[in-house]
Amino acid sequence: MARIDLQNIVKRYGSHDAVSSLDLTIHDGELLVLLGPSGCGKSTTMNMIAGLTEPTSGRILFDGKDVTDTSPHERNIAMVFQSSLLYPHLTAYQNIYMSLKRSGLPRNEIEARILRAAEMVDVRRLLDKLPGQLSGGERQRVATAKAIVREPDCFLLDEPLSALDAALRMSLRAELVNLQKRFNTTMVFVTHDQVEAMTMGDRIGIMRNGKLEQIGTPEEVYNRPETLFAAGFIGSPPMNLIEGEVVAEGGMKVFACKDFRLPLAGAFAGMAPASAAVLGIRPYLMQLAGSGPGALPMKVYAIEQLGNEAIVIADTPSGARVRAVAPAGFHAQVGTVLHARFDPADALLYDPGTQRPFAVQDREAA
Amino acid sequence: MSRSRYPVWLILAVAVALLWTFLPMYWVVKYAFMTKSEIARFPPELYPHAPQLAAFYNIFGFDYTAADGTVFPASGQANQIMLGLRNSLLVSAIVTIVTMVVVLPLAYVFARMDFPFKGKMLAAVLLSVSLPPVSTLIPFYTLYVQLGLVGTLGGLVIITLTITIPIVAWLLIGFFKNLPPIEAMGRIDGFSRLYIFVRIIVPMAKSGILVAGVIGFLFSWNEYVYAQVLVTGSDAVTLPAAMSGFLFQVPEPAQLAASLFLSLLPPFFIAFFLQKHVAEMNFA
Ligand SMILES: Nc1ncnc2c1ncn2[C@@H]1O[C@H](COP(=O)(O)OP(=O)(O)OP(=O)(O)O)[C@@H](O)[C@H]1O
Ligand SMILES: [Mg+2]
Repeated sequence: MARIDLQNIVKRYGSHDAVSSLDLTIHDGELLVLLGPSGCGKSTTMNMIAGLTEPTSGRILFDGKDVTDTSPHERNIAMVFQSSLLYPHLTAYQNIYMSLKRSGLPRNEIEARILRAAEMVDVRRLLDKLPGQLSGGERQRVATAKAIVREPDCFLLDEPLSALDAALRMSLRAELVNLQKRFNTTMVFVTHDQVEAMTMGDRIGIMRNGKLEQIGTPEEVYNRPETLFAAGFIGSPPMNLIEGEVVAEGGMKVFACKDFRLPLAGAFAGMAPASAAVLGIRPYLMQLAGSGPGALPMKVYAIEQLGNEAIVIADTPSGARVRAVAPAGFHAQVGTVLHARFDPADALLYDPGTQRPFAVQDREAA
Repeated sequence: MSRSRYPVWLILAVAVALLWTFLPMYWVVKYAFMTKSEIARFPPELYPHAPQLAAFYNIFGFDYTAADGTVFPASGQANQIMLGLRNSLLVSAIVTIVTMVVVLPLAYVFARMDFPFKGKMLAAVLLSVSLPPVSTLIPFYTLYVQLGLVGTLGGLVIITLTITIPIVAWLLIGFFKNLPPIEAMGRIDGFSRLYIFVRIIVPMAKSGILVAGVIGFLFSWNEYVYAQVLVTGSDAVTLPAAMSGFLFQVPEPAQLAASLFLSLLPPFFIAFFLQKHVAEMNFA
């Protein structure tokens, strides 16, 4: 078990910063998910935690001890690689054994631990097989056994499920979370899949262009995205973002754009007028309704039936694509004009200049 | 009637490829079983009507008496052929071993590690692959005369290495590049770079390494240009150089074909035993 601190970490390749001044604390026993689009520096960050890549500058602490210059092996971590990499020329048993080969443990103790780890992820009967003879899910389980057999201070997993089909991913996801909670071992899990991040993480760190955009619990990043990017990245279907301005009108603040005018309520009711603003509202908070003041007109583009509900995908007159949730079985012709309403108190307002929410006096009170 | 599982175009393509490969070989090899007069006939015979092994006896230094009493005298080149066979095996074996010992770590480092000027050094390797041997023949020859290396096996080994090393390196670099990032796993498991290379990378890349080694062997086995100039007529003669005697000194097409047949045997056996590995590897 370990608490991991990254202090002002920079990783530069040539003139390009793969990771720039990253400060990040991973608490003891937590499952932190690093989430972000391809190329944002997730793997680079992970490899620096593992000790596989040396940071250009900055410090890495394990339980307060500086490990920046120590080898991966000394850090007592276990890693599961993208697509559950294994030594292809060794059997599953030998693959797991390689984790302990340099441990100095007595032979019979090693054997017992391998069998126990194999038992735990249900790969006892696969131990004599080569990785090439295993299915994707089985390979993933063997890779997990190889990781847990070390009894490491920290698990690092870099998109281990990315090569698997949806159903298998879902069940393995649950297995991994279950293991992590049973051992109570610190785990860092890298993914670019926000559903995976939401379902697994105790906390989610959202990365973009080598920087940490926001870190928080799934509820925090979902309900209060701190940047416009986080707002658009988290949530499926994604948050609706509508550009406009905030004007003062008879003692009230009104969000105004070409499509509609919405008197503000809640936290943002007290904000200063702004010539440019982006309004964010979750599809689940929009209801289809009749036309009238405060209703957003939209032209149906497509409807996705999810069984328990339907997602209406539509374009506003000014060309913004928005989504709203409708009851299951909802139908409408493509091109039909519908209206959606939402409680202004549910909306978030971002300053496109700073990419952050507008400052308000007392957000919690609202 | 059961229909074939394979489309017609595939069968045709395979047939063309096989003909393309084996027809020239067959054409030459059949001469080995024919007499001089049969070979000289026009139109040419498609196969030896009365196959006989005279040429094979002759190149090994034996007279051969045919059933009708004709005597085919032993070849005057026989000792050259025997010597050439021995030298070719020796040179090719040494060249292959030295090439692999040099190239394995070199290709690994180029394929899997970053260091300054890597790109430029790789370009130099590629350039030397693209140089035809004749272009370096004259400078090498002058150098060899000065060093007293003309007509020596050692000299031939060194010069052949200048061909095999770049080619095998180029092949193996491509092969190593395609391996998954297994070093990271090895380092987490606590192994040294050397251990990872010797005990993990090499076994993983076994097929590619074997095939690259065979290609090196074949380049050495078939090397003719340098051998013709440097070792013909000496004790260090190789099989291709010795065989050329049947072409240039005493034209003996049947014996030339017989020794050619002989020179095809090692590559043939190697290809046969390695087919599993050839099918397994991919240099893509
Ligand atoms: N060895 C390297 N040399 C040069 N640039 C690199 C190297 N490794 C990574 N990069 C660059 O650093 C940036 C971050 O890469 P990284 O692999 O961390 O992304 P990632 O978030 O893991 O993406 P993905 O989801 O595609 O795996 C990328 O722009 C990448 O091109
Ligand atoms: Mg990655």
